[in-house]
Amino acid sequence: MVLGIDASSSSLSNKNLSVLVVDDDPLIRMLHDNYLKHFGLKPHVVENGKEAVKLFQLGIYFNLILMDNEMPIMNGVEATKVLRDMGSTSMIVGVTSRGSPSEMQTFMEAGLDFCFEKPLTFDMIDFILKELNMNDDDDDDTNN
Amino acid sequence: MVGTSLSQQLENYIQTMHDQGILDYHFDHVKALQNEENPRFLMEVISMFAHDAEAGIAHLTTLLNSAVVDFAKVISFVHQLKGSSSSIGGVRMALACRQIRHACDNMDKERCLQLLERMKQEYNSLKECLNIIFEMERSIVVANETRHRQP
Repeated sequence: MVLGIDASSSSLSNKNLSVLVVDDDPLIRMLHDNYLKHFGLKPHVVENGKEAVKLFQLGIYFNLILMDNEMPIMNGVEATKVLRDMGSTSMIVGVTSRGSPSEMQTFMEAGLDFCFEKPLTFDMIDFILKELNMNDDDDDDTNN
Repeated sequence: MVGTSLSQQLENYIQTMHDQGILDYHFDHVKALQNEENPRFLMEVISMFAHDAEAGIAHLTTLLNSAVVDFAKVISFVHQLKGSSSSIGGVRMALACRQIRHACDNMDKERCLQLLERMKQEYNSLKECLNIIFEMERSIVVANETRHRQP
């Protein structure tokens, strides 16, 4: 039984999407990695915001970044702000245990596109991928 | 045939845990991530969760029993435990974590200590349940490996 997945998020359309998972908890990294693989993606995984920023500085672009908030060295709010200041156009989605409205608001204001409270679900990924594919379609229309 | 009946027993057990409110649907999502390429995925997740949870609970116990409690640190550990327990479907343990967070916001050490005991009880129930699932999964994996090795 496959939960919450429909044809528009099929593996075929996701093959070319690059994804980065940023979380300090190894269990969460493993879960998010496998959730995304279930959708035909091949995520890159790092353990804090500074590592995510380093990848950007190296010129490595990700269509999607799943960003935890609570992390040592550089947390999700800081990392998101830095990435946006540096010109990152990735879709950045916050996935956090800190689900109070004010905490989610602060996280959104750092520059997120969306923010979800943990745990990550198939439906959330489905939604995110649909949004990503829609953005790609918009870009195609502009270029034509 | 042995493998099939083990799988059915496992499904029945998981349903019982749903009925008792110990596990919610997130557990089923995690289980659905297991496939032929990673047949021990669920066992790995359970091991990791138990290891991390026990370390987190030990930290919380030390912090909350200090003369002067560093509530910011307590909140940080509590959020990690809430995140991991909810991700594996341990809904009651996650709820206990949320309650500790609220007590921290009020800087209520006594209440935090009471809720910590409750959270430990929820963790023990969850751990017992996950251990049984782990053993059943292990039997299934072994049965499948034995079947594949037979000529």
